[in-house]
Amino acid sequence: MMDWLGETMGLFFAAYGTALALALLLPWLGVLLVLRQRVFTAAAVAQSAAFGFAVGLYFGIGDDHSGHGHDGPLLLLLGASFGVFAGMFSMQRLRTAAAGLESWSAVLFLLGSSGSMLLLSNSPHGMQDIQRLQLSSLLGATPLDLAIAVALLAATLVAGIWCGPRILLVASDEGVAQVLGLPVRAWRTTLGVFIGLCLSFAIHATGLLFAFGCTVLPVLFVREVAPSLRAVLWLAPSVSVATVGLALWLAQLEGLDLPPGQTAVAVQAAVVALAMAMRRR
Amino acid sequence: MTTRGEVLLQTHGLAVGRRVPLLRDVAWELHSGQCWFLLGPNGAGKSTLLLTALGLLPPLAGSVSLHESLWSRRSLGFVPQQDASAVTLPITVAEFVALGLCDLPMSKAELHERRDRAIAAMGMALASSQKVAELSLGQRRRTLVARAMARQPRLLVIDEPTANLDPETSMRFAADLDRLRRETGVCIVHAAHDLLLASQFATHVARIVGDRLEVVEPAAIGGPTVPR
Repeated sequence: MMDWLGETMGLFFAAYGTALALALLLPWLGVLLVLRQRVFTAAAVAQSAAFGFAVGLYFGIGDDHSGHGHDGPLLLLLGASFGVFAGMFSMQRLRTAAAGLESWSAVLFLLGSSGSMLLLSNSPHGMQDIQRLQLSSLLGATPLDLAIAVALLAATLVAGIWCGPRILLVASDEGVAQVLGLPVRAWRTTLGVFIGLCLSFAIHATGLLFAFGCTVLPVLFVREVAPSLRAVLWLAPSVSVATVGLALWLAQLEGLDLPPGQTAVAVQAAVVALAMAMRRR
Repeated sequence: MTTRGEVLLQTHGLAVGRRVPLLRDVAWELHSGQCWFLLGPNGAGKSTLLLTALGLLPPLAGSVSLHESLWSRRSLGFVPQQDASAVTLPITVAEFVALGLCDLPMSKAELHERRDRAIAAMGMALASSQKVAELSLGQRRRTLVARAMARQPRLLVIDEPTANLDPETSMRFAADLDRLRRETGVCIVHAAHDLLLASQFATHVARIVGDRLEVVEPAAIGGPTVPR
């Protein structure tokens, strides 16, 4: 396995590095979403970002005609702005009833999925590009993607160390946080923007499936086995990185040659299903 | 009414409501060491009055004065009816209570000391490392109170403290709160329906009748048995 690591890291350093950095970062966002009982929000935000990329592609923004038509920074900004809007919207709507929130997430998700396909249905490369975003391709990530992923990870760590408990209180018990004088609205907006930014970038670099999977699946697994919230906070990213690492290794095995993004999500989903089944027994 | 500690909260001609006034001309004065029961039917405006008094809803008319120790809200404790968060992720009693101190500047040692003291005061010391989701309803309420009491509040507001608890558990819970009030001098406001508990533990009772808040003697509802 170490030989494989040495060989492939040289070849796919940016792609694998980005995947591992996101595998570390996304579960922390997942913790916030699970705390607020908004697991599906992650998919809705990511899909809205995909719609943003589709709008950009429709207008020819960032199309470099190289087969990687969604690589332009302007296109990334456009996708991120849609993702940020959806993230803020989802967080703001969290004040209302749970059923209503789930409905809004579903509407955003379905609108993003169908809209992006419809918009690019007559575009020569567009359909292929949007399918690549919605499925997952880890191998297209660039050194710039890796740098952005590391920067977002660093920002998350700093925010967690500086004000982690306050973020957790706002995410888990908004009413009490408000009574205690925390600026709940500002926190909610900030969290919405950050979640939108991270998920938009994640879908741009690795695709929707991988981004959504790494956000929620490690947290759902850890929820079944962890004895405390502190354990969740270190175990979720650890499990995420371990399963993505395992999947990257599995994917390249002789005779398998699997797509790494899908393999990673399948491994994580299997681990969650196993943990849930064992807990129910 | 013999209990007269420091004035913590005072309203002047207060009208409360979202758009239309639910309550008008509310004159209410809370002193440290008091135990208030705010009684009224569902939808009468109990929560709206408390939210307005705590500055979370703007008054439609009149004003609210808070003691300076409550301006920053560091001396304020609030116990919601339900712990929305505790079932989604495995959070222990100790972690849950510590979250209530997240905005207060203090060392880790002081945080642990305050947390452990509040947990012990609510009789939850043995369950400290247990997950909140695995607790009984009564224990969860105690955990919520411990989170609020860890702030060492001067004013503690409790929304429907004994809703869905059986009578015996309700009585023990209210008795523990009353003991805490005597030990710490905290002013406790219960928004409640339970006349029996109010008659047992209230030093003061405010009753919503129509669009008015009436301050009545506990004797008027069958109490008090509590020395004030």
